[in-house]
Amino acid sequence: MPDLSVTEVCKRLGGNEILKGVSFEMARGEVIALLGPSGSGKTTLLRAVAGLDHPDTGRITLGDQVLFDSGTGQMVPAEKRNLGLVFQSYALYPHRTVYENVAYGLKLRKVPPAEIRERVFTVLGQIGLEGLSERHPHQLSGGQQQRVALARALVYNPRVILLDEPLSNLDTKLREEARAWLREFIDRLNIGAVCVTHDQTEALAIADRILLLSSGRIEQEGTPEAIYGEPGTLFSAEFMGNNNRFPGKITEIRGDLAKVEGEGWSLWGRLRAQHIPGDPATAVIRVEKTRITEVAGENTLHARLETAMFLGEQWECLFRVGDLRIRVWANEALDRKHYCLSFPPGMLWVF
Amino acid sequence: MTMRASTPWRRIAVVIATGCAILMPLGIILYQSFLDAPFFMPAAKLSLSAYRYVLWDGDFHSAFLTTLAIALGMAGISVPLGSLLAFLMVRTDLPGRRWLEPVVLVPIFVSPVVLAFGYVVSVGPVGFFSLWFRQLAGTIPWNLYSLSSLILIAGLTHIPHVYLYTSSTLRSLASDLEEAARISGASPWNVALHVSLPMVWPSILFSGVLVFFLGFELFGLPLIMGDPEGLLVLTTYLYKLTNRLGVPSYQLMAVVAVSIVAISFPLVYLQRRLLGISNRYVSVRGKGLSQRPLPLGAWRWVGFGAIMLWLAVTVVLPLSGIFLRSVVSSWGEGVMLRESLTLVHFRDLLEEPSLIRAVLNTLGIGVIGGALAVACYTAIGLALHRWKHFWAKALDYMVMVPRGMPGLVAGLAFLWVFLFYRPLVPLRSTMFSIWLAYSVVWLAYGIRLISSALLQVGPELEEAALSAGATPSQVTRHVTLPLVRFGLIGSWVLIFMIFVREYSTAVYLLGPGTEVIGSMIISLWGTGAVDVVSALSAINILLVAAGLVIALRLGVRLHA
Repeated sequence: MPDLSVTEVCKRLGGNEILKGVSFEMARGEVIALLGPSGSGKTTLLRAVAGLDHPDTGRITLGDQVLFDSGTGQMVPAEKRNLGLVFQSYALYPHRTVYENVAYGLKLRKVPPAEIRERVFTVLGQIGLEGLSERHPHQLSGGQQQRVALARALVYNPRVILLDEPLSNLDTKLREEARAWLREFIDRLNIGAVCVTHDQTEALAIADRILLLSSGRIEQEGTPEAIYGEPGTLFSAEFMGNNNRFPGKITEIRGDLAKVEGEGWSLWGRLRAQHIPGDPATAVIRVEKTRITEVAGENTLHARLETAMFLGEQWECLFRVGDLRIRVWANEALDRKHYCLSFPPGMLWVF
Repeated sequence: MTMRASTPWRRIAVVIATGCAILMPLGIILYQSFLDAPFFMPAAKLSLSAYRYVLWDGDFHSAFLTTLAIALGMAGISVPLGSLLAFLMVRTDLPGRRWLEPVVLVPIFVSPVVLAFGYVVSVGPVGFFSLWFRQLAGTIPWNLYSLSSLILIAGLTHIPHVYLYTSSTLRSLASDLEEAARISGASPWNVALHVSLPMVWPSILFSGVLVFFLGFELFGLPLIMGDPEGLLVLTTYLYKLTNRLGVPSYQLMAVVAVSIVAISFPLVYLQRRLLGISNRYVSVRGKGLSQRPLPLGAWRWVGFGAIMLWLAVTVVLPLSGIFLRSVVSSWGEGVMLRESLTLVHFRDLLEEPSLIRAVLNTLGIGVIGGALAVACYTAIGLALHRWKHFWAKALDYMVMVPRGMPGLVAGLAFLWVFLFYRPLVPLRSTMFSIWLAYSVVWLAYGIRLISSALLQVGPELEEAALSAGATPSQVTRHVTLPLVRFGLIGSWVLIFMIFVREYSTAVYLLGPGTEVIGSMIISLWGTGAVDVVSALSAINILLVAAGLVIALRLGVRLHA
C-alpha cells in the first residue's frame, strides 16, 4: 500500500495552468525527487501536498487518511497533516534559539517538557549540533542552518518529510557534503521524503525515484538510472546530463535502428519514438558516450578540433562537423587538428 | 481527522465591526443632510431644503473658491520644492544629510493650530518679529492675515508630505539605471530628464493630489489666519455655521459636510490609483541597489542654506514665538521683553481644572488611547493579513472612507452618532468618544503602519509553523506577533504623536470631561485668551517633541 498518493492534481493560477493533472505514489521509506526546470510546477505540487496551496481538483491521501479531495470538498489544513517541511530559505524563526526552533513542533503536540528536552537533544546530536542549542539562527553558518531546519522538520516524527530545494542556498563544496549527509540521514531514519530540486545531480544522488516535471505534467518517472539511461522523450534526454544533439531527417529504418541525416553527416541510432522515413528527428548522445577514435569506421564522423578546455580531472574538447558543434571529454591534451569521433548506435537515441 | 476548509468567522467579525465604526458616522451625516431640522427633533422630516439653502448661499460659493485657490496654491508651492528637497537629500552630496533627515519631517508633527498661533505671535501685526523688524526698518512689509500669506505658509508646511513620497521613490531607484543611460551616451542633464524624472513622475503626481486634497482639509491655519480678514474656507464655513439660524442648524452643517466628503472621496480614490502606478517603477532588486551621490560642488552650500531658511520659516519662527509668548506677561508696542518675563501663565493653567484635564486627557489619549488604537489596528491588520478574499477587499476599500472625512467632519459625525444611538449616549461626555473618533479618523494611516510591519514577516516562517502543526491563531501568537513587536512599538509612538497633535476631530466633541489641548486652543482662541493658549501650545509642542525623541531613540522610521 502506498504511503503518499497523489491523484490527478490540477491547479490554475490566474490564466495559467500550473499543474495539469499530476499523479504519483510513494512507498513507505521511499525518497522521491521532483525534478524540473523553473515554472514546471514542482514547488506548487509540493505545497499542495503540504496543504499550503489549495489545488483546484484532484485527490491526495496519506496512508488511509484523505488530505485533499476535490470530489468531496475535503481539505485537511496544513497544521493537521503532520508532515515535515524544509524550506529553501530554511525559515528558521529568527526570534528563537536553535533549541526553541526545534522544540516548537513538540510543544504544539503537548509533549511533556522532559521528553521534549530529551528528543530535541537526541535529534541535535544526530545532526551534530548539540553544542549550539542556545544560539540564534543568525549566529549559525548556512550549512548549520540547513541542518537545524531539517531537525525541526523531523523532531516530531512526521510520516513524510517534504524538502523544497534544500541544498540550493549552500555553496558548491558544502552542497556536495550536505547531499551525501542528507541521503545518509534519511536512509537511517527510514522515512519517506519528497524533495523538490532543479539540480539533476542532486536528484540523481538523493532519490530512489525521480519524477521529471515539465510545464505542469510528469514527463517521465523512474529510477535515477532509468531516467538517465533510458529517457522516454527528447525533453528528458536533453534535460539530464550533457548532450550532443544532431537535428536532421530520418532516411532509413531497420528494426529499432534509424538512420538520421543532416548536412554532410549521417548516423545510425536507436529509435526511441514513433517515426517513419522522411520525418524530421533529433539524435541525442551523452557527451561521455562520444569517443575519439583513430580509425574511421561504422558511425564515425570526421571532425575538426576547435578548442579544448582543461577542467582539472579531464579536458573538454569542442569539435566541429559542418555546422554541428560536438563536445567530447578527453583524458589528455589533444595535439592534432583532425580526429575521428565515434557514436555507438546503441547510445545514440533518435527522437 | 478531516474537515472542510472552514469559513474564517473571526476575520469576518473584525471586518463587520470595523465597517460599522466607519459607516455609521457617514450614514448619519447623509441622513441628517436630507432632513429639514436636527434629527432629534420630532418634527424633522425628509427635505432638500438644507441643500437649497447651502448650495445657493454666496458665502458657501466664496468659501469653496477660496479653498480651491488655497489647495492649488499650496500644491503649486510644495510640489516643486518638496521634489527638489527629496532630490537634494537622496541624490546629492548635500552637507548634513544624515541629521537633516528626521528634521525636515518635523513640520508634519506640529499641530497646525499651534503652528498658526505661532505665526500670529511671531509675525502677526504685533508679533515679536514684526515689532523688532519695525524698530529696525520702520515698517512691516508683510501682512499675515492675507490669502497669499495663508497659501505661502500652507505650501511651506506641506513640503514634507511631498518629500516623503518622492524621496522613497528616489531611494528605490538604483543608480545602475542612470549609469546605463550614462554609458549609452546621455549627459547628466539628459539622464535626469529622460530616466530619473519619468520614474519619479508618478509619485510627484501622487503627492500633488495628496497636497491638493489636504488643502480641502485645512482647518487650523485658515481659522486663525483667515478670521481677521473674514476669509472663509469650507471647513471654517462649517465651523461658523453652528448657530446661523438661531437654533442648532444640524441640517446645514450636514450638507456642508457632505459637500466636503463629496470633493475628497474622488481625490482619495485618485490617490489610490496613482499610488498603484507609482509603485510600478519601484525596483525590487535586493542587491546592486547602490547609489552614488551626485557632487554639487559649491552649490551644495546654496542648497543647504535654502533648506535652513525653509526650516527657519516653518519651524523656528512659529515655535520660538510660542515659547517666548508663553513666558512674557504681555506683549505689544513698548513692552520691554526682559522686564516682563514670567511663568505666571503656566501657574494660571494649573489653577484651572478644565485646563489640567485637557493636558492629562491629551497625555492619556496619546499613551493609553494610542496603545488601544494600535491594538485595534493590529487586529484589523491581522484579519487582512495574507487573506485574499472578497471581505478583505471590502475592508480595504472601507478604510478609505475615513481618509475622505476631514477631522472636523468626522468629529461632528461622531458627535451625532453618540447622540443618535441610545446605548452610546452615556459615553458621549467621556474620553471614549474622543478615542473612537481619533481611531477611526487615523484608521487608514494606522493600518498602513501595521500592514507594512506585517509584510516584513516572510510567508515561509508562518508556513513553517503551520506545517509543524500550529493552528492559524497559534501562528499569529507564536510567530507573527513576536516578529513584528518592534514595528508595533514604533506604531504606538507614531500614533501617540498623531493623537497628541490632533485637534480638529475633537472640536465638536469638546465638553466637560472631553477636553484635549487641541480643541481647548480653538475654543480659547475664540475668547482671545492668548496667554493661556500660548502656555497650552508650548506644552503640546513639548509632548510631541518627547514622542519624537523616543521615536528617534528607538530608530522608528518616520516615513510610513
